[in-house]
Amino acid sequence: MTSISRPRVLPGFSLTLGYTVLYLSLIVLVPLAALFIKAAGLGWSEFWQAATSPRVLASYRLTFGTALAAAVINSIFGFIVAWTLVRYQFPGRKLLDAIVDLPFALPTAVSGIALTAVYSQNGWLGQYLEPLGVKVAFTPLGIIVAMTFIGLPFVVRTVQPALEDLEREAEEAAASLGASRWQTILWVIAPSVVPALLTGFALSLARGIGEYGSVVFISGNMPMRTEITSLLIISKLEQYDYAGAAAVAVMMLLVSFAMLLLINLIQRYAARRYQGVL
Amino acid sequence: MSIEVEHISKSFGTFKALDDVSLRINAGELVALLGPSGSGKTTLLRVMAGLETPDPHPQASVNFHDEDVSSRSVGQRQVGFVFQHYALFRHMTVFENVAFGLRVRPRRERLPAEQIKARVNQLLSLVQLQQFANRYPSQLSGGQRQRVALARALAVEPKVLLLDEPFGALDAKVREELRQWLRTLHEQMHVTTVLVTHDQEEALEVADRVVVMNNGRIEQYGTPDEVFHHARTQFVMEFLGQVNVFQGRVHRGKATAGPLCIDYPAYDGAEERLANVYLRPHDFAIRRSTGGEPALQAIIVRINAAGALARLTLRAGDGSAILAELPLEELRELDLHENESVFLCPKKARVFLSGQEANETTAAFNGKVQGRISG
Repeated sequence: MTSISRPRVLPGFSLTLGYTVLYLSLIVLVPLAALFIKAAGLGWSEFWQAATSPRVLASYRLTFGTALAAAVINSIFGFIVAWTLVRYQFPGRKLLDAIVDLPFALPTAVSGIALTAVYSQNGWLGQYLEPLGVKVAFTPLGIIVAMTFIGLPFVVRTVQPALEDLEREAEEAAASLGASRWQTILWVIAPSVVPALLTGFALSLARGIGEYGSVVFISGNMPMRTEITSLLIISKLEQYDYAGAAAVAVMMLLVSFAMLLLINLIQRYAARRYQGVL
Repeated sequence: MSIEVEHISKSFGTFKALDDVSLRINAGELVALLGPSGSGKTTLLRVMAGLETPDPHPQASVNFHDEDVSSRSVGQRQVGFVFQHYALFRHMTVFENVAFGLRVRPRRERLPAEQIKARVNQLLSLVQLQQFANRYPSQLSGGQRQRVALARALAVEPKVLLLDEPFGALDAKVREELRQWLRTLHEQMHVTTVLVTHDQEEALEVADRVVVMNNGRIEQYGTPDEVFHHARTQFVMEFLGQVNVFQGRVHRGKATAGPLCIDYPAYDGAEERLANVYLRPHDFAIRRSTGGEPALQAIIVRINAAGALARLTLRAGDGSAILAELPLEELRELDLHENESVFLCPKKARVFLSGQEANETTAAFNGKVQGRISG
């Protein structure tokens, strides 16, 4: 541990650390603490009841399940998109690169409405999917689609720099040693990209869990079936059940935090394992 | 295993990296591709390896042991390739790096794990890195990394070893050591080896033969002795070692450059032609008086006596700089000092007609023929 008061050649540590602590407190910790205090007003048994009623439990399952599915889908296809953008020169590459950021920029409600319009029974895609027995709008599948849409840029933007960093020569070396393309991807490329891909996965997952705007339009919000947790919190608020809403929010916060922490740990392990620096 | 490339050209956009190159490398030889950057030497090496596809040409081919391998991929050619920047797998230990080529073989050809382990350990002891087996590349020095890369390339028992500026990123001392080590290794294994380098000292010291390249073409191919002492072109003359160039003229079997007059029987026409006269720093004899011989008067600007040869920088009457070398004892005997005026008597020289390469050239002074140099 480096001591805080030790004089340094390049000063600025205490100032920046102080600023960081203050900033994080104001922006992140104080609102979260308020949340906990509000929920604490309930008492333990009431809290437990509010946070684990069947309707709430169903919403947890739906939210985390769909966010997880969306993050997995994004990790696979986001990787392919990033690969294409980094590795190949083709007309329209810059345009494609810009399109990746669109889900960032679009108001989530707009994307929700657009997705619903496209995938509903009479929509552009919905009218062809419906006869095949694939219902997208107003089902968990629709929620996954919306979460995939908004999470894609996270994976692409985190994996891209990692791919750009890859040594072309390491791949050539692998090929000259007789490795097939698949072996090269599996044993040479993937290990260097895994830590970045995990970050992208975590960001996409977190975004999916917290998503509200784009999902509420396409999900249909049927209690027990297509009602996500953030919507449930809103409806509790609309009924002036502030403490109940806070209880659900706290539960959600704890689970999300645990998941992100876990991913972070895996990532650290992977980074150490793959970079070989201790 | 011999390597033969025929009519290989390679363009990158409008840049012609290789221009109809043909070359045959005998089995078991260590050959250096030497040239300035952009001369096409690395491209030629990569074409041999199959990392680069040559431009289509009806007669273009790459042969290993008289067998056309043009259509084979790099993995099928069984070449060991070593990169300038090592290209080690960063996330694998030294052991895993060396074992990689053995582990990726199809299951039925793969050695059992025990034998892979034995083979890797044997290679690691060959490159003197046994104790580093469990380290990661980032924990090794440059020289150690390059030895890992070499062990990794040797693991698959390559038929030819291709080294792309393998010591280019290392400091002088390590480079020198690895150079000797590579030569010893080559003598033990006798794998046909091609080494790309821009360091002439490295090429002349290590290689059995040297290919001097320039602008995508081969300027000269021969033993280090041949290319250094019997340069066929002005480029080779200027690229290898230090050389003083004097502009002059030839006619009626004589070449003149300033006060220097040289017999040049290769051209006895009456019409004067421009020519360049080349003298290596050791081609001068330094005298205090001319003794009647044609000599160039110059002032000593600097004497560098570090080494067996003393290196002198001189300034001629027209202000041009001249480099000369003489044994240290001779310097002491002559008792030369800076700012002294001396006479430079050429002992031998090479003459090239301007705008014409690879001529018959002879060098002689005062009618005493010093010996003909094949062209």
